[in-house]
Amino acid sequence: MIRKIGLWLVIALMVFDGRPSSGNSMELTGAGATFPYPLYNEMFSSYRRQFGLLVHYKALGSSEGIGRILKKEIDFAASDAFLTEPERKMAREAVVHIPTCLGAVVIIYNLPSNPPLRFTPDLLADIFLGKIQKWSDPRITAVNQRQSLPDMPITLVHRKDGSGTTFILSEYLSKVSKEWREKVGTGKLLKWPIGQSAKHNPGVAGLVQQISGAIGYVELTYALGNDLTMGEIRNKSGRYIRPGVESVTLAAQTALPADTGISLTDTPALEGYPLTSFTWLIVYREQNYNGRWREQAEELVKLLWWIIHEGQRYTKPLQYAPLPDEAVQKAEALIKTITYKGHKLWP
Amino acid sequence: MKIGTRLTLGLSLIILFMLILICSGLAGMRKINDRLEHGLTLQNTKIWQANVIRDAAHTMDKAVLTIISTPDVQVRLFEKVKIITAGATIGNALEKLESLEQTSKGKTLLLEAKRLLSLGKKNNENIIEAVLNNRLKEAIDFYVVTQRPKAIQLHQICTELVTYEKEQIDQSYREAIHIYQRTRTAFLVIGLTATLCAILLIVFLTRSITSPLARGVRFVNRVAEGDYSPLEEEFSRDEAGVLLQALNHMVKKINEIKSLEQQLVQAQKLENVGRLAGGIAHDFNNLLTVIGGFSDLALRKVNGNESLKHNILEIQKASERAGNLTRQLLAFSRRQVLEMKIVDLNLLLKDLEKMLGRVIRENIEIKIIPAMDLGKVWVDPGQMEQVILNLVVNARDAMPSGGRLIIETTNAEVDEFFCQNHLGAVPGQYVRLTVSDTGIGMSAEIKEQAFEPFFTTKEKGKGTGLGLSTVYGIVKQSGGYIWVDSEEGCGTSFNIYFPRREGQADALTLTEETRALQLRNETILLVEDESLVRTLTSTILRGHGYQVYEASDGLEALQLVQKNKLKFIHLLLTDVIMPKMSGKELAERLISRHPDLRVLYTSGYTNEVIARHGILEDNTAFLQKPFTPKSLARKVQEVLDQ
Repeated sequence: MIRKIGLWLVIALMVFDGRPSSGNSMELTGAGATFPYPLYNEMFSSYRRQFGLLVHYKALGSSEGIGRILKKEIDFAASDAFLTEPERKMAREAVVHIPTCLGAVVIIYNLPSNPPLRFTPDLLADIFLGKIQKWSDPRITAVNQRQSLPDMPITLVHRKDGSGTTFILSEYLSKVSKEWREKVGTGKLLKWPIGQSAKHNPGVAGLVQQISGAIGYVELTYALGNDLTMGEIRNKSGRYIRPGVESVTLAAQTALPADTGISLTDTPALEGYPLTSFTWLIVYREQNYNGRWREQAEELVKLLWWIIHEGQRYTKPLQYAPLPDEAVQKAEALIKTITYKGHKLWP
Repeated sequence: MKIGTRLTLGLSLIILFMLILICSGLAGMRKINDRLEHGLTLQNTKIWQANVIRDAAHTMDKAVLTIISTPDVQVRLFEKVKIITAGATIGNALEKLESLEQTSKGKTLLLEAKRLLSLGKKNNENIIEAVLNNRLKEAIDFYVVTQRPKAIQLHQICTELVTYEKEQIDQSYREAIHIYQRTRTAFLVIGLTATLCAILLIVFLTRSITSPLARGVRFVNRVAEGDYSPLEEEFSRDEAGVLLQALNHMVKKINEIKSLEQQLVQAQKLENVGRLAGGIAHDFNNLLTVIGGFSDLALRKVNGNESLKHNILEIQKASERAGNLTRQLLAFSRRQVLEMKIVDLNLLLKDLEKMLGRVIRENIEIKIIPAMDLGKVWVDPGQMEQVILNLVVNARDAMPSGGRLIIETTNAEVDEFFCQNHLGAVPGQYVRLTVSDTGIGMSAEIKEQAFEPFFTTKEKGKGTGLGLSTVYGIVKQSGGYIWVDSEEGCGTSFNIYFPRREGQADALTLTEETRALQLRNETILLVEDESLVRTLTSTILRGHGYQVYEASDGLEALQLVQKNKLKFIHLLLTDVIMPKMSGKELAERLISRHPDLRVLYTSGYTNEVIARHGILEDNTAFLQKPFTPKSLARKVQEVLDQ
């Protein structure tokens, strides 16, 4: 009996000591983008099975993730958009953006018999500006002459929360439409002229599924996973491109800056999908913050390295595109800059 | 308020009522509509969201089942995406529902759904974990035993939620119907009230217009039936009021005209009676002169026969009384000869004061209020005294139990307005003499007859009924006016107006001459057509020592003068009106031959008639018939001594 109590005491002491006694008890916490969430879900459960490290990832939207990393509440944030200047200022300390994969924002819609539709950039802009309000609008039928479109009102479904997906779409529309640029602009949280809103990528996908005549935008995997119809979008070279791993990969065939902060939308690539983007994990360069242990920082760096290498095999099954080699090299270089108390964490 | 304004206001009010009615009705309907619409939208949204949850839960359940049943890794991956999507969809719908749901039952259902969802999520993770670790049997068992009932439960909750929300729709529909009914009732009540108000307003408006008109009609009818009393009440300021006021004014004017008419009738009556009385008086005068004269002469020759003397004295007394009566009648009929002078009424009153004191009784207080700077008047002072005396006596008799008597003089201006209400008055400067008492007063009827001769309210034998008649005659003859104000029980005041006359007041000589009669020897030519009067007159004059030549008319008189070659005649005593030649003509002829000739006219006629004969000039001597031997002697002596 006394021995039993003694054992419990030892355990209790170990727990309250707080120092991770082994890798298995270590946890990492991240939050942010819903755009790559299915991928991260796979990656992190695989990583846990492999290395025993539990990674808590909360898919709350890019803005929320950024907000939390800026408050230094989490180990990493996930975002489909680079930090903005004001956000960088709020961070006060240097951060690094580690690209994890390529994804596509796809236009999904819910129409009777779900005909395959094509969209031109200005058509998209005008639909999302609320200027085109019927599916039977001549401007839609003009590019979809083979389809019979119902005389139905268009219900816009957009994101309620601050979102990287929204950023990618609005950044693209700002590139292709002057009116959009002037009236709405680029951002994670927009003032939509009309339409209904839902939280997160799956929320938009779910709502579009529920409303006949709805149109929305989600990451490709959500469209595929929920059997939603996607539109083909005419790219810069005038071709209507179906979103997919190939067209996304083609869009990323371009030289990258050192920090990998590049916009891939409206790609000049012939067969490139115009709504393509990297998605990133955001970590502080100096990992000694908020009382974190060196071991935590080491585990984080290890995880990041794994994601850009072994983890890439999870991308294709979920229809994300793996990082191009150049991106992997740039990411490696970035990971290597991460320090703990000024000491490099990667040899 | 003008009728037009009233109508406009009234109709505007009615329109306002109607507008309020319409607006309140519309507002009520709109409220119901909004409520219904809002309720329907809200409940439909809730039902929709509940259905979304049910569908998504079903999708999630199906996806889990697919993951268990398929060996295909790719399919499993997308099914997981499906589960993520469904979970988020349910989360969104729940969040939405929570923000909309307000009933406690709905909240309880939502809470339960939430609990089941999070439980389901955890279960699904466990199942997927088991599947991925190739513990398929465990996964299936877990699904069947733990997750499946939870999924069914969630489904049931959602169904319950939908049913509940449908009930809510029914209820809000019923509520809306209830509100509709209430609004309808309220609208009805407001409508009826507004209509009632409008009706009342119309009735009030109509009444306010018609009732003064009806009053006007009643008033006119009353006037037509002979009741001329004007309306005393206030008139409204609208058109109807103006009409009524005009009618009232007209009736007042009619009253004034009637009053003037009455005055005229009265004046004419007095005039006629006066003419009659005057005519009688003239003949009586001659007769009385004779009776008086001869009884006087007879008396002188009685010589100790006491019984005869007594009889003659009685005759004399009666003739004197009759003489007084005729004099008064003449005065009333304005036919007596007035000796006009410029008189200061204040001085006259001062002279009279003592005598007046003797006339009234001790229980009467007399007060004379003379005006400062009182204007002069052109009157016969002797007659004026008579006027005042008569009025004072009248006042005394009106105050049997004593009182106050005021004699007041004032300067007065008679204007147009005064003349409108006082028949015969002419605008100008006047002197007013007022005699007021605090006596019994006169009724309207008595007032009307007050100036009629032989009308008296006194006991038989106490008054002659000629006092006020005399006053009236003298005043009129002097060019003045007299009006009576009297109220029964309060007193009477007589207002006499005399035209103002500029000039120095003449010295007052009282009628009673105290000079002694002397025995004379002058020659008098007596011309009188009435033989009895002539004989009497000559007898009296001879008795006083005069040498008298008699003629019955003017021609005879001239012949007499020629025949007797009368060189010297001191006085011509002639009747004014005679056949063949008037006294005036005769006097003129004789004066042409005898410039020093004095003339004394005598007549039973009055001023008017005499004036036609051109006699009544200021310095003409005149003796009114009937005269007493004494008054004849005195007058003759006065004329000769001038």
